[in-house]
Amino acid sequence: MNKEQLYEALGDIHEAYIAQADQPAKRKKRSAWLEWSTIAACLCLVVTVLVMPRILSDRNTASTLENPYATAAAYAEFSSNPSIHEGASNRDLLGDPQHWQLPVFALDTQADLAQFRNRYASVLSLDRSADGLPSFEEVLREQQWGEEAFFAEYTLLVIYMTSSSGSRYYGVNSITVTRRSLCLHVEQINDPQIETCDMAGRFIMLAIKDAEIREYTTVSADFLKKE
Amino acid sequence: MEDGKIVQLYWDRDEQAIPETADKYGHYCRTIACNILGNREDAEECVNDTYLNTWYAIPPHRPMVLSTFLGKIVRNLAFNRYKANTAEKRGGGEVTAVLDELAGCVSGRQDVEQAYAYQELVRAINDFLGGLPAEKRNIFVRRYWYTDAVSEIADRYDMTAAAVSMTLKRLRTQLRSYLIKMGYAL
Repeated sequence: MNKEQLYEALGDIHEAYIAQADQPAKRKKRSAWLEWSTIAACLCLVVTVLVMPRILSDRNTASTLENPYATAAAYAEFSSNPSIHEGASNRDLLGDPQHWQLPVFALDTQADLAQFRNRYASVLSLDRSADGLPSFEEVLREQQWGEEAFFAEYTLLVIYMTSSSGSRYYGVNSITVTRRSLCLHVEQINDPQIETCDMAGRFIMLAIKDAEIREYTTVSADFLKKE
Repeated sequence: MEDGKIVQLYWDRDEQAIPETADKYGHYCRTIACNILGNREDAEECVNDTYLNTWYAIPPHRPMVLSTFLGKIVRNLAFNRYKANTAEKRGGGEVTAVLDELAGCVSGRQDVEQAYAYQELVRAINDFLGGLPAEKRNIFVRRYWYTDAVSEIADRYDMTAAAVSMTLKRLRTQLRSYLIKMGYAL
């Protein structure tokens, strides 16, 4: 093999990697040394006084469990547009290179659902079924999620993720809870012999009782990569 | 205009598709072509050829991410032009340095007998990239797909050029080790 052949092969890598590398990078702010040291000192104080006891407390009670919630998967259009993150309840956690965080939308009322539809219906195709999966709207109808009676008792969590193959299916097999946080772990749940080479989107939808979810100040989702 | 709408213009054979593509992705395509060819005239020709190729590729394709679809076309066209120019001992942009770096990963022997299967190689490279942290993968892709200069990558990720060069060197070593482990005779 020569260098030109390798360069050409590199040209055909996953489009997701190409798109990801084109996202604007988070730039660290540079400021005057005094201002920076003052900010750093204040942050240390905040962390020590307020956050550390909570973290230690949370660390002591973190548990990873089998997912107990009713869960369904739906088809979504692929989109790498970062504006999708704007409506996510965990948008502050997105973009962390250490953890593959996925946007989670918490819909607590029919008004929340209407807003979600207004914002994402055309971008993510809420009424399209494909790849052997129902549409977002079909899941709502089949599960009777989205009715007024549903929202009286439950919150609908919607995780959005993208995949470099429409042959892959995903689900939430496990969750990690602490006193104040819930993290949903998304995993690939099938192992197709042949994979299509097309970008795909997915919704993972979960129904969680209001009484439970109100315990959590942070609800997030991450992706557990296959070993 | 959203990618979906631009793609629909191609499907409708509406010639407005080309100006909309140029308006949204012209700079993106020119940057990739310039990185490879090193001169605006050749780059501009490649970009125009890209629009023409895209016109004939859509339909039947319906790309979900138009930028990467265009990017792959312009990258291929620019590299083919680069190879032709190099045979005539002309030009070359950043890609010359990129190829010199990649030379360290391979034997340099022309695979006339196609001893490797191209798709298998691409799959192996994707598997390698999939195992990298996103930050490192982005740096690798910016250098070896987008063919960005090291200084541009350093500026993009707020790193020193030396740190970027060291990161790339380590990643090339890892890629080489990975390909050898996968059975490629490098």
